[in-house]
Amino acid sequence: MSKKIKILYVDDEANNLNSFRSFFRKEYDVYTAESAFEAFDLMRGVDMQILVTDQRMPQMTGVEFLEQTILTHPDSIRLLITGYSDIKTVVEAVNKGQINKYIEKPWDWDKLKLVLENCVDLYNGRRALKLKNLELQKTNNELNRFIYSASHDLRSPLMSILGIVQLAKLEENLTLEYLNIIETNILKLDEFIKNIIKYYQNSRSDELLEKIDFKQMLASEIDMLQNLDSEVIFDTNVVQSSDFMGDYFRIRLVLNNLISNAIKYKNTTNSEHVINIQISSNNKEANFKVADNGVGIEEEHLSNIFKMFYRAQATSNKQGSGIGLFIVKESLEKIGGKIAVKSTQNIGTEFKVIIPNKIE
Amino acid sequence: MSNNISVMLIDDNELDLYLYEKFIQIKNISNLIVKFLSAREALDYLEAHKNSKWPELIILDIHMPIVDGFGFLKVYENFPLEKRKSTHIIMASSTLDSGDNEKALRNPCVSALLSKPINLDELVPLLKVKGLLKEGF
Repeated sequence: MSKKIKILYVDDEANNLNSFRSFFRKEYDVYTAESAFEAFDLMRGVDMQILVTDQRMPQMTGVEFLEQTILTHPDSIRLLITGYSDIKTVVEAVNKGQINKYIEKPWDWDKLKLVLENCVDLYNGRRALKLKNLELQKTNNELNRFIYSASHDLRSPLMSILGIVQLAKLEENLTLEYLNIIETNILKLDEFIKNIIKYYQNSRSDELLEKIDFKQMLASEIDMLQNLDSEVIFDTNVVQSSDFMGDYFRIRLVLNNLISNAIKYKNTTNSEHVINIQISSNNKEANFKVADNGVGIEEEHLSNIFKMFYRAQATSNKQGSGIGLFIVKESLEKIGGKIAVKSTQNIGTEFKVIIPNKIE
Repeated sequence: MSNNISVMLIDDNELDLYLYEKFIQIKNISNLIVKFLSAREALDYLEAHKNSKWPELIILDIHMPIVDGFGFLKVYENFPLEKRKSTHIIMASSTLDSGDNEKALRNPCVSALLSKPINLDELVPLLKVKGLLKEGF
């Protein structure tokens, strides 16, 4: 498929059409029509970037033709050619036909060439603006959703703390149990805020490459996470066959989230909670596998777990913030990685991650 | 002396359930309390007690995963009116979203809406108005 700019030229004089086509066919994808009606047929379902038309034609004038294309081809650049410099026609063309350029007959080929080049620039500029606007709209929608959910999630631990404080006042007794509940909720709130910061860092900063030692990374991660639950058994295996270059911060973030989830969602009916972590890397990529024998994820939720603020579990005091896996996915997107999940309820969950080695 | 209404509490947050229970006990509103962490379990309970007495008061959280407060009401509406008419539902919401709150108030099964955390200064007068608490509380 050609990526050339498509130009449609409408003129009732076949000679003009032929010379136009032969002059521009190398640079552009040229379509020609001898009448407005023929032009409408050609335009159906085709994205014409530039529309050029003669003004004086039987049946329908150029301005009338251009006017009718505004709805179907709003982004096209419109050009009117006329042999009679009639001010009324020009005014009409600008107001009704939304034309961008006006050319007098007979035209100078080099000038026309320049005019068309300007039209292409104009078209590309408009298109870029439109794409930017769409992008902005998407960011705005995300932000709205973020504020709605984040305010709820920020408020709920605070409301719990407030409730406990009110209870303690009512009983005129602040017990250690209440203090523990307050502490838990403050930690939960803090974890959520830290996650938001991580998300922010991830969305702002570019990839920072450095040499990664997976054995060391995993060891320090486990060392840190073991405090969450000392009863968890880690079964790890790291095979690194070559140097690995990658974004240390993001890769560690991914590992951290997957392991802490595996710890969080343990199945209390099991006698042992085992987390199996395998990392293998070569000069092409690194593969992580994090598997647990935890509560698992119901199938109906599996496709949603990477969405922002989605929570699959009925919450308990171990509730997740619903942002961890979203950050994992966002981070991996930034560094060209991929993630897949398999899970069976009450059997366990397995995440697999592939991260490209940027060693070149 | 305790007021003798029975109360059902539905909230996915264990701590909120605990707080409701404590407040209700301290104020001697009731000592017949059943608690559920999910709407599904609560509905199962109501279904299983179709032939016995239902709680006079249900405090129902709006935001819950899987089946939320509105999902609960959808199923609840299909229970016979005979069973429902002596039960009051109070929806509890920690949301600041007025859309959710209006939706709750428009539902004919819902007697009132309370904001979280539950506030006794709001709850006690409300229960008196609904005739669930005797004067003098």
